[in-house]
Amino acid sequence: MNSFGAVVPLLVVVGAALIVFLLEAFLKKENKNYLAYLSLLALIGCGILSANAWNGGLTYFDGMLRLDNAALFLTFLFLIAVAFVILIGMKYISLQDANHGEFYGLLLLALSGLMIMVSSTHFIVIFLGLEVLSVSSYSLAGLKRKDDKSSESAVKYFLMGSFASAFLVFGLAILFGTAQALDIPGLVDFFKAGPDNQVLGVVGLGLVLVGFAFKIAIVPFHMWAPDVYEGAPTPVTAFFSIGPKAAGFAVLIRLLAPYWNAGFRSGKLFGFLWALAALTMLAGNLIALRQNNIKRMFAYSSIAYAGYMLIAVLAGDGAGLLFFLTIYMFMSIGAFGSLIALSRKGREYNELGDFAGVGFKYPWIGAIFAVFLLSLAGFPPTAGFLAKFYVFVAAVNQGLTPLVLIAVLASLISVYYYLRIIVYMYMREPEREVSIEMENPALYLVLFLCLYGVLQLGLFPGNVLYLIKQAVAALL
Amino acid sequence: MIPPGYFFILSVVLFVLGIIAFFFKRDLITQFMAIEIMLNAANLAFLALARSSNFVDAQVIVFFIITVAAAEAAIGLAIVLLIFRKKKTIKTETLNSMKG
Amino acid sequence: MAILLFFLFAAFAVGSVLGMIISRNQAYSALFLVVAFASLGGLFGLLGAPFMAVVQIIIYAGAIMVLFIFVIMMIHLGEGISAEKKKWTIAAAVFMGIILLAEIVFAVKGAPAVPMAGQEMAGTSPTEIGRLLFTKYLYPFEITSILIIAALVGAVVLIKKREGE
Repeated sequence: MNSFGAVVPLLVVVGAALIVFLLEAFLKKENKNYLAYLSLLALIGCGILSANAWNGGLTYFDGMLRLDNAALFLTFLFLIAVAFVILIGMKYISLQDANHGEFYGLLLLALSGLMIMVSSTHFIVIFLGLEVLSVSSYSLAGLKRKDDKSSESAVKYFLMGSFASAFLVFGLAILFGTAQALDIPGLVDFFKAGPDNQVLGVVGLGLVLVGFAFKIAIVPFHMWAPDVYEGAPTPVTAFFSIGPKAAGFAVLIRLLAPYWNAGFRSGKLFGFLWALAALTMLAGNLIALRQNNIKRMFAYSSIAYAGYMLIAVLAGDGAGLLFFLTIYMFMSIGAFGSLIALSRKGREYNELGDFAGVGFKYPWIGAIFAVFLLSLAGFPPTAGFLAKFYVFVAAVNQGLTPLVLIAVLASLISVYYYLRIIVYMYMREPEREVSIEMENPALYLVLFLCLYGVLQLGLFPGNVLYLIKQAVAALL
Repeated sequence: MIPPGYFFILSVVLFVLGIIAFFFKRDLITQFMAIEIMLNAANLAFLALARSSNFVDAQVIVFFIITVAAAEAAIGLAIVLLIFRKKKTIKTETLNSMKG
Repeated sequence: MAILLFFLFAAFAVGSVLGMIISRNQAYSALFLVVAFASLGGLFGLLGAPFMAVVQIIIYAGAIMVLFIFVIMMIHLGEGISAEKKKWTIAAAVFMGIILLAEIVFAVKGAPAVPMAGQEMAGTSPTEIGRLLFTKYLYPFEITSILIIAALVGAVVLIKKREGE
């Protein structure tokens, strides 16, 4: 494959986005669904083209484009996630007054940003991919233009996002100045060689990590996340919960994987990351306890999940991290999809009180939602249990027992607020009238697929683990 | 010849001033200006710290960062206008419809 | 000489950023920022990157800040910014105009004496930057086009009025 062939999957996604923007101008309001079908087609095309490169391990443009198995695995994950988001969003955007065809186009552009980020080892490319992702995300967050919360969500995301970008850029400047390189192999060589101006280099690396910590919402850099998650349109929130997080962690393991077997656990940054992980898990779950808005509660839950993922990074368990991300994708999109199921034209039911009695009034939605909640809480035999189990075991094997104890404690705290929703659904009398739009086949398809994913990965994860093993082999 | 360290110190000063301005100011536009200052400080740091062997690389990177800043300006000012249309003000303390 | 220029530009940059922080009027803040960006352009020139200096002034001071000022103008459309016309501002304007005219005359007269391309410091010419942009950095260069499309469409989606609004 020449270097043009290597960027074709990306071009398919971007090209589809451009066609969506173009058609949006001509399509009538009731025909907007064609844009969704076109986008899905592009996702399938991109998936097939990417699958061809599996096990190729090729690099292009001096490592700026690196199609190794890790990048391809994450690309597949993103393709599935975006396909799900498109499907759960189709009905939603017309019901909730956000019926702009640009929804699909911007999602595709955000996807292209994610793909660029995970398939590069050069920080300039990673930064530009991150910006493509962020810029599309800012406008996706504000897509419900008549809704005050949505606009606020956009402005907060924008301000904190670009503030974080500034840190990232300054950190890159220092790294570039000290290491005279911005590609990950070059930086690794620099830090392994240990020359005299390494202190400045560590400062630069620290600033870069702060920038990424903002983007993946790690405590204490998480302040923006609850408001953004609550205000953004729910399908977009589902996208935020997995996309930027997975890409941020991908960059993190690309950067840290070379040290996993070379004194990583005695390095300067290790203690810093350890503290962040503990703080993130505890703070995320504790603040989630007193939330009454389910979307906001999920925002804090997603912050806590970033903490668990950080444990995988600290334990040097790349396979565990990818497995965790895969499972989290199904759980999170499933949970947000269930929230979308509980809505009708111009009204969303996001308050805890709205859920009283839902389990009996809408038994199917209630039951499926309950499974996702149990999975998020980490009950066997759902996948959520297995994800945490693998990561915790890997961490204990690496001597991180105190951190795992904190993580288990945090998980126990989280059980309370996940179960509280289930209690409301099945053991409370409905306080107010909840009537929902039932005709939404695409959404039910996604709920079913996510349910399948959560159960399949919880009981028979073998096939996916095999793929993940191949993917991680590329990193080490 | 001026020592490059001077330029670097200046860029750090500007970056810190940008952070201060971001937290000190209470309206969206000037907060955004503060972010632009921080990005500019980073540009200065890039050029100041580059050695002559990759000075051109540094310039190309600065070129990219300026592009990013322009893209952010476009989307950011659109969001500011969106807020202004709704609230008739761009003071940050009015952004309080979500709590918890 | 160069060190003097450095401190001059540095003082201008820091001073105008401080001015931006202290000023309560957003329009003044924006103008302070223009000064800061222009002096940073001067610093880029001192570092031996004349092309970046020009780009800095054209894009930052020229394009981005104009966008800022447009938005500030739209936001204050109702109240309006009072036009304080004092005598000394007119005098200052005339004085600056004369200096500008003189500068242009000198520049045009002296143009042939400027060293032509090829004699400049290696690694600073626009040709070098352009070559690198289209060889080593081709991939990121193409990505910026995606970035700009995303920003453009995103801005339009958020602001454009649709039929029936």
